[in-house]
Amino acid sequence: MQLDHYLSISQFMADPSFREWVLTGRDTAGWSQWTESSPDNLHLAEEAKSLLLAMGKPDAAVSRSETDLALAESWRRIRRHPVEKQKRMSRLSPWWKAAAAALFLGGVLAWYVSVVRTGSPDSASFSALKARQVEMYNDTETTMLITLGDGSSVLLQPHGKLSYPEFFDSGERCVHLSGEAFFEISKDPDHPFLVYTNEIVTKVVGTSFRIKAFDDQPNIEVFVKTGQVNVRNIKPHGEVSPQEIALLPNESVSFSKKQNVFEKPLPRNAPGKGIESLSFEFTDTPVSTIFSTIEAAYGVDVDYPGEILSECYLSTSLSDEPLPEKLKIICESLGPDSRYEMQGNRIMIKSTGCN
Amino acid sequence: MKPAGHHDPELWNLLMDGDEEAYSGLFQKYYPVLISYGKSLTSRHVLVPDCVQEVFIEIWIYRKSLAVPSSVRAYLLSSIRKRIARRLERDHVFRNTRELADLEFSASFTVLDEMITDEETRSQVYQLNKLLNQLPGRQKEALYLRYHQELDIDQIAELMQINPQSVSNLLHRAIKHLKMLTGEFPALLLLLSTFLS
Repeated sequence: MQLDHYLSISQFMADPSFREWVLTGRDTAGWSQWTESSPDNLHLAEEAKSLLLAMGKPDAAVSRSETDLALAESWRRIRRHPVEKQKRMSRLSPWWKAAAAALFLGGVLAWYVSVVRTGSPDSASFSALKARQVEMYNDTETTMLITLGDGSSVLLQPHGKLSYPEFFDSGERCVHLSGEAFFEISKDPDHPFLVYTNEIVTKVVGTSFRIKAFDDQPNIEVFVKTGQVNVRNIKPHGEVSPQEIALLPNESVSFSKKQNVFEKPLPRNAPGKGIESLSFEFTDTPVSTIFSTIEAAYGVDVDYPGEILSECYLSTSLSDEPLPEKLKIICESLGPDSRYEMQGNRIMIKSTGCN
Repeated sequence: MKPAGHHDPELWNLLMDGDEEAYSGLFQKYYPVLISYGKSLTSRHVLVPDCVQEVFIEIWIYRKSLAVPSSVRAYLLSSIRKRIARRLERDHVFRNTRELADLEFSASFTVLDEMITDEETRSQVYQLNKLLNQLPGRQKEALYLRYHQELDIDQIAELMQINPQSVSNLLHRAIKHLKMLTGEFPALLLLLSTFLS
């Protein structure tokens, strides 16, 4: 029998049939019979057995019903996740269908062109493997909050359009903007975030900034609130200029479409209204005040148990964080039993109080 | 025991294609495992279910960009470990707590008493158990991952973010310590020699 060749305790311990025999008594490999034959390495088997018994079995800390409850919660949270929600919303919106049809036609055309030009469909089938693009157009009169797959927030102004992948692949995080938007980018140094407009590309790692790029206006403007931002122009034939201009907090730069050049970056005070005018530096501030600030900045409603949280004060800096991150930090600071849920423009805070 | 993960790659592939039953199947199989491993890594047990949820939810959300892990069990255990470490680190920063952010494996091994038939073995096993539970956290964690979760040395190394040699060293030290204290465990020397090989 090959069991006679085991030279160490660990070889016995690593044998699944041996473990099964020791821990459950089920003997599928004839271990009882083997021990009765008094093999030379029996003492090793006995010590392995003692050690296994001393380590016991992983405890079943969670019952089946608890697991099923957790699974139900998991699906609820998935359905509410911004990525899944936008997917579902897109499915319902007729505008999206039109856009999808346009994208599909575009895709077919691109495929046709690539086949005709190169005789091979490889490039088209490769792009089909990539994440689907979501396009959001703000046809309302108020700011629209968009949460991206990486947790970044975008406040899209009326008549602005943002297209982005439903999830970001490895590599760079690229979105396309036309119109005006304020970005708060989740920090991820390995995956730079790039905003393309027709004429310029803006590159950041994790920061907040505003871009105004309307098709019917002569200039594009980039204003940096926090962090560092690099901008480059895109030449008429689509090539990105190697020269980049670095912007620091509270600097803005204007790009003239006509002359295809950037003007000199200028220091600029934060706008008197909108999210940039609000401070997210809180020192011993009641959470109710923090929630009001968030309501004002993002145009959302925050529901929270006011009485339970009336004695809760926080000191925290949230200036540089996208909205989901801000909410997460607040909930985690309140205490282990606090969480948030986002449904469109409504945010619900669940909390049993601060500790 | 059947190889615990023999259906996992199939389920994972189905999950990547958006099969909701495959997600539910993996969730039901591994939720209890991740909860119990998670709770052994931090005294703040209340954090653990939420961290496990986040691990699973992100797998679903980012399923299309994931590769099939060579061991789903090792991948999930590693994910929950990183997730809890990150959560503790953030809490440490934002709550100004003095709490140590490092993970410390603190679960105790429990003797499998119902499988012991004679008193001599019982007293030996309980003595061993006591010594096992006094081992430093990292040594216990290596033993737990090796024999409770059935990971191999390389998987443990990746999970604990140390090199395979260090895993062998942890197990080596654990066994050496047991031997030193019992004095009646000569064959354990051979045990560590195979860990080192």
